[in-house]
Amino acid sequence: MTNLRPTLVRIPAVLLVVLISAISYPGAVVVSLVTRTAPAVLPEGTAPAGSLPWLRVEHPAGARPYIADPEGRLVLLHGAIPGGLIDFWSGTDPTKTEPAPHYPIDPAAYAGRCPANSATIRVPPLCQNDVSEMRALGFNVIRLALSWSLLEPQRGIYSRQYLDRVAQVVGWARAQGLYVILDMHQNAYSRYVGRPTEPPLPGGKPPGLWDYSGAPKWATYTDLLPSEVYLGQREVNPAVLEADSNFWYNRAGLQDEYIGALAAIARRFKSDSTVAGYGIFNEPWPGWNLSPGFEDLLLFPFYRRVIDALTGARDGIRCATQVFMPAPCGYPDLGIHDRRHLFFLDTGLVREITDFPTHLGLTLSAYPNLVLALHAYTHKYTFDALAGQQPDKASYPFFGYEQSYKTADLEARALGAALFVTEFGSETTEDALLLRNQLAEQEKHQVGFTFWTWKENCASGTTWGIYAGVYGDAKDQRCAYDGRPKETGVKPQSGCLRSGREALLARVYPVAVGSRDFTYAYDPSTGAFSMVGTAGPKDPDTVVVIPPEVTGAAAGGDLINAPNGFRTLTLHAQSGRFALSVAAAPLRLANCK
Amino acid sequence: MRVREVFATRAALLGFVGLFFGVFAPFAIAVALRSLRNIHRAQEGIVLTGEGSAAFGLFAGIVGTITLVGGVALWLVSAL
Repeated sequence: MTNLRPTLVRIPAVLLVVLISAISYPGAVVVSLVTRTAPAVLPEGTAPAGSLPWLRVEHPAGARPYIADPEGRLVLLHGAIPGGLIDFWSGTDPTKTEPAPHYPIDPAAYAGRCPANSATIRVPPLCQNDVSEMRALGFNVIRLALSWSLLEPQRGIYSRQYLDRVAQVVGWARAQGLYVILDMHQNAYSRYVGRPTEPPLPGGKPPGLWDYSGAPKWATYTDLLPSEVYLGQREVNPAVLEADSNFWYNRAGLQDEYIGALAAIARRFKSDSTVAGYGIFNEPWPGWNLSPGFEDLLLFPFYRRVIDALTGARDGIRCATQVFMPAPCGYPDLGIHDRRHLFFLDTGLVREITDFPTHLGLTLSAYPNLVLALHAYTHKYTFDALAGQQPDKASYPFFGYEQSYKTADLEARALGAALFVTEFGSETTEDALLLRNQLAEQEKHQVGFTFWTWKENCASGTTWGIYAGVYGDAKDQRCAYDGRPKETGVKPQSGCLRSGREALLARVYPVAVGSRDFTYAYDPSTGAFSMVGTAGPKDPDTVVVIPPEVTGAAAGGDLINAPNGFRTLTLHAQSGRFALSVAAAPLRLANCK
Repeated sequence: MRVREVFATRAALLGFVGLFFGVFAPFAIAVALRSLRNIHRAQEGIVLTGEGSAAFGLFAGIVGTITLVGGVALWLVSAL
């Protein structure tokens, strides 16, 4: 009996280890290994006809996957993020925490007109003129930020009107030849996290709900924790931390509802090639959880479940839904089989601070159309900025702007995903440093972008929009709720197109590249562009778009002048080295006054 | 006399945490081995308990370490 004792003690220990392993890293790694060897989930049947070519992710051997068109050409997307469909808080009285959505949701309110703007909300309404203005800058994509609270205002009931409104914007984009990324946006979980009724605890401040958005009220479980901001960061708020954690633990089936909301979108747009894909969750904040476990055991497994549900990929193992789902769990096929769209997977929000991977990030899904969505805020939200260092004297990131992009490149490869910058931006005063360097890195790494933000009414500091806010160049840019006299009158949809932003963002760039061996660079200070590479005789055409702002002579390919002032430079099939260029010449900016 | 071995609980805790945060797993192995050694070499008349906890820490540490090394290797193979 004495000899048996160690065995009797160890058997339960081993069983317990096996049990815990199944729901933690070992289980996650095993599922990843199985996924890695699984055959790719391919589209069923032929693609429905669309006015824009369907996009997909190409997986070249030994290189980072990339967004491609049906001919296999690398597609670069440039665009911006309008906030007009986000359910932001609005008003002039911060104690009124739950105002109704500010802008009309009914598409009829936007048919041939634009609802009145107001400085009681941080963004203007999104109207048809916005899409044509984006097109005029040479953009070919819109990251359309949406709110779960408007999509599913009551549990289990999806707003058909909101989907109609989304479809209206998608229609405007289709007419202009722009793709749309439908982005399930959120910041600090929800505008329904509340505000403290008592004076905040020491160190805390009442939250500014005007930049909180995301979950509906019924999906916001704060467990009576105070909604107070610490360290000046909206996410460092006990109520936000609790609400986020409850979402990641799938309390009361919150993830199931969220997946259902995404499924409602996918059902509506499954056959629409104008929709490039879906942004599953903007800037995921870990709540009380820590990296790397948050990303590897909660966030990315959640992404897998969304992909399983919408595509029918069946990558994870079968688990019960409506309860906490450990990392290896997949999700039932909801029968939509949306296998043409891209899935944009935001990195955890902490990565914006580190500019470095915060988790392991292994193979996620057998569905091939995955895009790692990077938010590039170097010197804006990285450690150095939080420590109060100036961008030009910062001691972090150690390897400068390159650190985030180089490591993101590796992350994308490990994940089997393309790479795309779904957010970057800054105050205009930092354009010469931050914006210019970010754009240079994006060219170097051949990734597209969507800029935050398209238009912004007002802000506690300087507005970030490509257009000036409703107060133009005024020194005081604050909104009506933020200390400014309570101005509630009608405001213009925006101020002027900012010349500095126009010069930087209306760029010459290759929209489709047939070659895989190329580099390109655009100099916004001179308007000069050069692209060199090697092409094969069977390579499809490479197309470079030249916006009206750029006036220099183009060379190296067939030049076509479009009536809208755009020029395209096309390289047809040829063998050997090629060079496309635009000569330096003064930019023709709008110079809006 | 029955006394709980002082490192047994620590080993179990490190083993558990190591399955979620791999960097702790090697430490779980080291502490668990020390705990098991103490248990098996206890002085006559003293029974050191906690073998189950130490065994859990050891197995969890081994699994966690293998996962950590394997996961990082897999990442490198995929990324580079």
